[in-house]
Amino acid sequence: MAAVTDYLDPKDLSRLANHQVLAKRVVEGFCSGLHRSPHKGFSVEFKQHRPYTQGDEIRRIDWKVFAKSDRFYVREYEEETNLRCHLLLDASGSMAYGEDKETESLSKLEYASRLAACLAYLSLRQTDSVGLTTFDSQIRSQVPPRGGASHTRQIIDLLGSTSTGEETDLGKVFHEIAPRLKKRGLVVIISDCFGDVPQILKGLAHFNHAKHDVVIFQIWDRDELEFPFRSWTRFDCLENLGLKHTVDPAHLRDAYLENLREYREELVKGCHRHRVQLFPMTTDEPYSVGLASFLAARSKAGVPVHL
Amino acid sequence: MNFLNGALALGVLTALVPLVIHLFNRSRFKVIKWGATHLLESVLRKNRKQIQLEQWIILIIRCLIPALLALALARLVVMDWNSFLFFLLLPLAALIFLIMVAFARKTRLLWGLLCIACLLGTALGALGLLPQWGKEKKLTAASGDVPASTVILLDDSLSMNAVESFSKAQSFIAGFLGNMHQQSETSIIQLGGTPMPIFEKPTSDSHALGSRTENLDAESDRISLLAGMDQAVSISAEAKNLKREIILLSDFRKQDWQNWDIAATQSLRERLLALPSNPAFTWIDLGKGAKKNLTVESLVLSSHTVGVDHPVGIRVTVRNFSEESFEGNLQVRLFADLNETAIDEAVLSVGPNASAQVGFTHRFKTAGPKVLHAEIQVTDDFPEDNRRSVAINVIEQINVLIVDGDPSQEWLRGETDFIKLALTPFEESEPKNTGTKLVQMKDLIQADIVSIDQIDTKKFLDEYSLVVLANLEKLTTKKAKEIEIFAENGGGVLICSGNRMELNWYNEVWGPKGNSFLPMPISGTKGNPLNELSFSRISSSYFDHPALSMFNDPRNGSLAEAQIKRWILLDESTTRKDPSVTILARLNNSRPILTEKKFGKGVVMLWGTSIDTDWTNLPAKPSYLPFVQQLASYLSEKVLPPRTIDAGRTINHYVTEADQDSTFMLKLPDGTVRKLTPFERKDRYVLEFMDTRLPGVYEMKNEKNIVAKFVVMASLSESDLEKAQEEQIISTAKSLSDQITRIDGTDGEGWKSYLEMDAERKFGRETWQILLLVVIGLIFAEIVLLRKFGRIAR
Repeated sequence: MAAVTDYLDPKDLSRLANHQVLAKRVVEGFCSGLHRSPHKGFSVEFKQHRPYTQGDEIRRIDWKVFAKSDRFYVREYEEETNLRCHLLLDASGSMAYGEDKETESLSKLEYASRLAACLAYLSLRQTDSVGLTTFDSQIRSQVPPRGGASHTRQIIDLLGSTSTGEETDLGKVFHEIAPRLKKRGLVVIISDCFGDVPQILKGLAHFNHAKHDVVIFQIWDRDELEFPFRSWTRFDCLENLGLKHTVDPAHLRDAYLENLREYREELVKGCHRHRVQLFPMTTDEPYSVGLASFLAARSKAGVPVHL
Repeated sequence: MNFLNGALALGVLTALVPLVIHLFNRSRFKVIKWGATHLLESVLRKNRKQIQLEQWIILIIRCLIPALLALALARLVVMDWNSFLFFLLLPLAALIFLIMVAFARKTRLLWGLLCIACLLGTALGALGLLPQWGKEKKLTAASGDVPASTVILLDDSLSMNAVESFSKAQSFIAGFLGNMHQQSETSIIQLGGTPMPIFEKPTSDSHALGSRTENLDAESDRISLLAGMDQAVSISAEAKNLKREIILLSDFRKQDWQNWDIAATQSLRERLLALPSNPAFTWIDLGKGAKKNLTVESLVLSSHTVGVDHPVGIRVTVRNFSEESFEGNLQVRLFADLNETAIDEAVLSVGPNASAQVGFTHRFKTAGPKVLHAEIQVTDDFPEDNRRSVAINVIEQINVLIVDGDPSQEWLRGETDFIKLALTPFEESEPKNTGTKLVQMKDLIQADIVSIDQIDTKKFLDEYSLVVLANLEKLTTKKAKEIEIFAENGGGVLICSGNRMELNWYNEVWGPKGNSFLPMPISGTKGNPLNELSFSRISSSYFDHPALSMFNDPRNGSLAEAQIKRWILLDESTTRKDPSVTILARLNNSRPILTEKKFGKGVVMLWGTSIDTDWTNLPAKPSYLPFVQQLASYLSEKVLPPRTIDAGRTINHYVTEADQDSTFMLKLPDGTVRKLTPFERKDRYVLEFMDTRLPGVYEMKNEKNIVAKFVVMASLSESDLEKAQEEQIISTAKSLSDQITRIDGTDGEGWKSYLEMDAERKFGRETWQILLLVVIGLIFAEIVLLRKFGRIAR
């Protein structure tokens, strides 16, 4: 059984405790801007309009109604249940990168697991319900969304038992997962998004179609972004064990980086098109820092953040 | 293709270094488990072949740089267009096309085909399958346009004077130098005597060489072909030009070629084969077979040191090398000191290919160094050898006092009879030859025998220069003292041992405890004169002492033939570090037998056995007479180094201590004058002159007058003008080299024939400049390509 502290570092927890506002913002961010009306509950379901009164936030004014009636109305939402947060954790082979490295930085999967744990922790603290699905080329295991502090235990157990698996096929997996998410909610995909970009985008479109709010934390290792290798190297594929290339990396670097740039550009554009928020993170940065900046940007703009 | 620095061509192997580094790097790759394979794969899929191609190109360039640099340093020479094309141009073109394949994606098939075509051309060319269309198109035109390194071996021996061979040689050299390429270097070696180059190093200054050659005369001794050839090969080995040639200008006489050593030739051939560029040999025969030649074969004197007014016997041998016969009509004349009036003359008969002798007697009226010449009055093809000379030293008489310690009335029983007979042979033999008195000969030495009681000490310094103490029992203290004073003042003392000697007296008075007059103390006697089977001999080593140096020539007899049955034991341990003591001779058992000591200005010599036949049979041997004569002459300071020597030997002359700081002039036969300064060798001052390649008379002068005359004799073989056998020259030529061209220059047209022959020859071109440019180009290309090759397709 995995220890909670393996995934939620006391340091990070204390950091979160010290940043209560930040934690709240997490909730705000997840709950699509209902922070200031706790009695209305955290909901994404519309209920009614009510006339604007002094003290209401300007941004909550429904400008379409104003345009029709020339009066200020504020949108109110139905108080329903808590936000459902679906964490989708990619446990494919490529997420294992960084395991063998001699530095103290985490592998991509470890990093992603900690990130997932942190998000779950934050959500559960806000009394939201959180579910976790791990997958590679198919769904590996699933914890249905549920609330309550004890649910952390379940999530962390699943994270602890997750190890990297086979090849990824994100598009296919997304199509598998989307029908299973019965109610609309926040879908947080933690993955490196390696694969065929159009397929991935199709999968994302499925989520979009089901009106889920989708956020992708794209996990990078610094090596993958900079390709810093110099001497002769054999690259063994993590997903397809038979695939090995012995090359002079210095020779390939420019082409690789160019390829990388194109891939990222395509992905970013696709995400933008499907209104998916894509937030890249590198394993050499503390995830709490990355998360904080992501939340800050999200709360300010209210729109997907692209770095 | 060829190399001038063949050893450096091995540097081509350094091409392996980049290859090894490349393989080493490949074998030490890192393993990374990589996630983003989809990003890498597309790059690899599209570029795998391109990357491999680029790596091959870089590797080839890196390997080529050291290899071509090594070839440039080894000074690669290509002989014709074919090799230039096949081994340099086509491979380079292939490389360029290969680079084009890497860059031009659309037209890479075309470039690839061109590259393969070039490589195919090289391969087929190397295998000789392509038509040799470039073969006849040499890289250079006539060899006259190519700078050459030539060594001319000039036979300047006396025999080259016959039938104007030498002037033909000179005109050939003049023609050669006049036609010399500006960057050519030429060395001329005079072959006569000891081969010697005119200038120490090859030069391109044809004027200097020309003027030196014009002034040369053929007056050297017999040529040393092999030694000259050896020098020429050494010079050729260090030549800076590719075209190398060794030209031999000679009269090709049998005498010069008969001593051709096969082993030496073999080693010479091996050295030639080891050279990067073999020199071509051109042998130009300038000597026409001379028909008639007569020569003075020898001029022998009865003695090389003669007293004033003493008769000296001169025997002249004349050899006829022709088929002509002379019946009493060959006139032989004798000259003294280049005086053109003959002092004597005779006629003789000599048959074809035979020799005849005639004798003369002459008395010199004055003392001093003299030269005698004998000349035959005949017109032949080679007049230079019709005169022969000999040096003679005319001195005043030497007076010797012999003190007899064991006199006897019986003939040859006295202690001093043998030495007297040997010192004054003519005087002693006269009474027995009264009836047949042919030539009245006078002894150089005047010897007086006295008994021990008759020594009149006052006469020593006035009349005698040497005192011989033969087997003296002892002397009175007074007389001993006087003899010491005599020696101190420059007289010579010879102490001969014998049974009467009282050894204690000698040791006490003249030994180390006394006044050290003896060279060494005497510790006893050894041996039994009555035992015929027990004896020792004088060790026949090389004698460097002037008194015995004549016995280094076996013709003068050997001291080792005498049996020494009894001798005194000399203790050399006490005098080992005394520089004034010298051991002249030892016995076979390494005991000293003849020792000397400088005492004041004089010399004391101790002969360790008897001077008569009591203890040794030396007096009965032929070497006894020259032995005692030499000892007497030496102790009277009259021993001189030989003055008639063969060409090439060293001239030696002793000078007195007083003259050690003066300068002497040596006038050579060709009129040049060399300055000589004495140097100290052992205990005397010596003048030395080694460069005696010119036969003739050498005169040594001090500021005032002539102190010595030397005659350097050309070897007799110079007179024999018979040509070498054609078969011998051909076989010799074959054993030496495969590239020998022979030209007949006897008609004086040698230079023209040489020019015609030379016009046929072709020589290759050096490529180091081109290779260096290519290397620089490759280095530049590598830098550029490394930058360009990073930008590959995605």
